Amino acid sequence: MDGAIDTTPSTLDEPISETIMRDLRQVSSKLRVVLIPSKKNTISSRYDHEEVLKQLKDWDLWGPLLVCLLLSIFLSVDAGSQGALVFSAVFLVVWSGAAIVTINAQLLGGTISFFQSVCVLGYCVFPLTVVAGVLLIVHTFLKSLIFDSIFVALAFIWSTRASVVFIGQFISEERKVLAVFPVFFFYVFLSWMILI
Amino acid sequence: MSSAESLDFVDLPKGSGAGVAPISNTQQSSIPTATANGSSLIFDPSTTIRATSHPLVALFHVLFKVLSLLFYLFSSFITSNFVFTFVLSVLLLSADFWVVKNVSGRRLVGLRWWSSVLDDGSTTWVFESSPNSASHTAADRNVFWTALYLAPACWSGLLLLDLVRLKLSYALVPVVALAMSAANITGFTRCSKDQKARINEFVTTGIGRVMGNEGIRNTIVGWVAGGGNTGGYANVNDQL
Repeated sequence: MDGAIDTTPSTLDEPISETIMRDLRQVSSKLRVVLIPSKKNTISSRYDHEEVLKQLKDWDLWGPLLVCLLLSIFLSVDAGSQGALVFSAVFLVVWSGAAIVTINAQLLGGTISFFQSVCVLGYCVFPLTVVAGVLLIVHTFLKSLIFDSIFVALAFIWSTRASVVFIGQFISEERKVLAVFPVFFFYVFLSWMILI
Repeated sequence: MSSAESLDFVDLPKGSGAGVAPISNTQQSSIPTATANGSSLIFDPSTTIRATSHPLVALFHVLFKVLSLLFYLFSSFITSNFVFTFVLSVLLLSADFWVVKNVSGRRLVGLRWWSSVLDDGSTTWVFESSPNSASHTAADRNVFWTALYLAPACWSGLLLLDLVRLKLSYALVPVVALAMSAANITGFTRCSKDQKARINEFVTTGIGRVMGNEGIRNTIVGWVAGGGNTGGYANVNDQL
């Protein structure tokens, strides 16, 4: 499912390979955007900021699905005997968590669209997924909670910052904290699931 | 059941040839489809698929649905690893969703839908239908809409089965399947521009044609789809 702003009716006749490539390119560019969020402070990066916003406006749910599947796989492989349970739990948590956070943002009077928000939250889980993958490899020779925590904390800050930048755009100043808090909590929960 | 039995079953004289069934005849008897109760329905999938104007597209339209259903059903014989089952099922379902939304909708029935986000953050849904409807034959529409409604019917059954057996982790797969099917069905049904016309014609002529294979299938699936929402069902008059 994607929210591409298709203004040309000729997309009805475009070759299939073009459609596939377009979707793939969208997903990869959004992943890149999430990994390198830009600051609002400097003047030069304000243009990047606009670019980022525009990118994330074209929502699609393939990216979050992919990210979610990857995260679930990594965590379930790491969990050993309880793999199946962990997998379903992570999958459910990611999607319902994204939905709940989005509804919360909407109820706070934000002008954000449901799918856009779910899309952003899903993509922003990507740093956590990367770390989960790294930890999976590391755990084959080193199992240290401190080591894990450092990595997870890094990824957590990364994810939260990326998503807050976006969600913050659509909420008024005084309610920003209220909207951001569930996002924060969502990523804390996911990070905790990675650690245990 | 032996393969000889299932081959015998399928060798009965073929009907008018419309309808959708699994590609391989030997698989037919093992699919718990919604039309299984109509044992008088003899499907000839290869003829139907070849009768469409885009056989390859029609094939893929049906293929991923069938593959995902089959894989999920027989996953316990293939692997005991839940994660593998889940991931592969979801990937097949996603492939099916993508194919239906982007390819078969366009090629078979000339419909396309998507959503765009306006600057104020609201989401609008755009439904587009091709004016070139002459290139879409009745066979195209048959294959498209039947498969579109039949697959979620099967998945609902599987969901019930999983819930009853309390295999809640596995039940996630039919849930995902139903969510994706619902999206496509909603999108395409709203696209279909002569929906009202078809409903009228189905009501007036469909009941009178219950004797034929077409009529039985349309009636059953019309009932499954909830009465008035027959959407883009093949206009029975096209069969004449």
